[in-house]
Amino acid sequence: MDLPFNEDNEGMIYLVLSEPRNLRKKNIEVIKEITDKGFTAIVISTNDPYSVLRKDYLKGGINLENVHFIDAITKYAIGKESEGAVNCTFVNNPSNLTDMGIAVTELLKHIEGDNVWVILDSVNSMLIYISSVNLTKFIHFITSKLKILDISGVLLAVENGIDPSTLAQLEGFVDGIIKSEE
Amino acid sequence: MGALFRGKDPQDVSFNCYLAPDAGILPKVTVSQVYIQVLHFSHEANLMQKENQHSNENPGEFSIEKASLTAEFFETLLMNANVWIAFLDPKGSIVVWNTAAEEISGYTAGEVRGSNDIWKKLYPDPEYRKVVTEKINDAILNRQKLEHFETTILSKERVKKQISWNTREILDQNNETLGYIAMGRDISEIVSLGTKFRTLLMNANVWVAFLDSQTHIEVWNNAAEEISGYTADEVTGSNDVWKKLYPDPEYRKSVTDKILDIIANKKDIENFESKIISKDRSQKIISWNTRELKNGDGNTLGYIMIGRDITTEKKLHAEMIEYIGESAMRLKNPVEVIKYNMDEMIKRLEKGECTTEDLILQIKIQTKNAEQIVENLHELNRAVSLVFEDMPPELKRFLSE
Repeated sequence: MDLPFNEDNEGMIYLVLSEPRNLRKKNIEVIKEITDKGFTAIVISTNDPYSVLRKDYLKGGINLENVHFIDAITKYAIGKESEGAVNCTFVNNPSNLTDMGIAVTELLKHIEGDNVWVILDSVNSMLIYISSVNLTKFIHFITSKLKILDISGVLLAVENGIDPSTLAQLEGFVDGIIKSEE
Repeated sequence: MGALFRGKDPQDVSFNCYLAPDAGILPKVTVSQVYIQVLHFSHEANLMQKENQHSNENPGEFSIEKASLTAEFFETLLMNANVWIAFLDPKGSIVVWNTAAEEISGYTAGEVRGSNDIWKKLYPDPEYRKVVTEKINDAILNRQKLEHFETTILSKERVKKQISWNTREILDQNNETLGYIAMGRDISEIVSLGTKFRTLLMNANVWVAFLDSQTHIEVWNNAAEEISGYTADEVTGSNDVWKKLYPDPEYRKSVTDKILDIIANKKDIENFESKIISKDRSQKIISWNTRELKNGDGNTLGYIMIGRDITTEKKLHAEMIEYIGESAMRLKNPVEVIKYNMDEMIKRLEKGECTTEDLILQIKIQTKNAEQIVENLHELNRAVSLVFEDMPPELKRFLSE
């Protein structure tokens, strides 16, 4: 998958649509592409836990030094953080948008100055825990923040898994929609 | 020997009749002769159609000799007519008081004949009696007949009754007053029904308006006031309210065109929806049923409009659709996500790429996802139960469990 990288480092946000069975694969592709270009990736995950993503990224040849995780599912599922986690912030609940937002803000401060991409995996897994109204508010918050800081981002979502009115709102927050060819 | 009587109105027909032996209180005219005038008057007043059939057929040539009818016949006819008949002499004393008069008023002929005291008993309230008397005196003075004059009497049994009166002065051939005939119809039941109907109409929980043939508003019930915000006083007598309810001229035109089109095709308007702006500037959606009302000759009397405020219903419906879309999004796809996550886990297990710890974590994550999806489904079920109130109770119980 070819993300349109902007040489002027102007922050661009994309909605990447994928088949549900290819969502994890798309995640790995996006992270690899970003980190291969020398950017730092912040992965907000409400779908896969840190421990699974870490192994997948390693298997995919991704340099984990350039990846920061915000894991909103592990602590919710097993009640504790993964032991020995590196570059990972744990949020206690995938519906805790406040803590998620704080985690993103803190991380962006921490890695300020570097070229950063923020990846949300995924819009659909967030919808299990929050309403579309709250989802769009959160995404509006994140995308606005990224644009102010000239930071790029990717929202991963399942194709045909979002209702038309919600999709229309998301389209208003992003600069482009990329549909998976697979 | 016959006597000729002619009413003041040139339409009245003269009769030949016998002098009855019992002239009674009227020296110049017999009771039977009065009966004949009454008979004809009652025909004009459209009160005794059956009894007047013969005179209908030969109004200009009626004579007792030809019809072989006796004064006794007329006496029986009038005394047993199903309307109140009273004849008063020029001074207002009761001369004739038929059976219906007795039944309706409760006072016998014996109690009332020979004086005019009965009216004080029938109208015990002096103020009201004065109003009634003035109306009657006015008619007498101007030598006019009173028609469909409605009063409320108090019968001997202390029951209030509504009477519709037709009265007329009876003149002899010299245009001298013989007396006054009063015919009354007990319309208590009709008035009661009318009152009940009006009460029903005015208190119906739907907007009811009646427009005359010129589309001016004649009736505007309580629900119409409540929904529109405009009182009956503000709207009756004109059709200006529609400009206020549909302030946008283009929209108003489209609504009017639609209504006129339906009426032109001689159809009734059923469930036609329009958006009105009520007096407090709120928008409401009304579902209209309108029908043209015609009389027996096929002429348009007016239009009855019944409107149901479906604003809340529409809003709930729209919200339900939105909610269903939201729920489908939060149910259908997440289940697919769980499925693919588990498929992925199986593949890893098969390849030996998954530790027990990973497996436990993934299962717990998907379990949490499934729990949340079930909760989302319960929420949808509750919303559906609330919206579809007529759902069978056992189904409601099943959905809420």
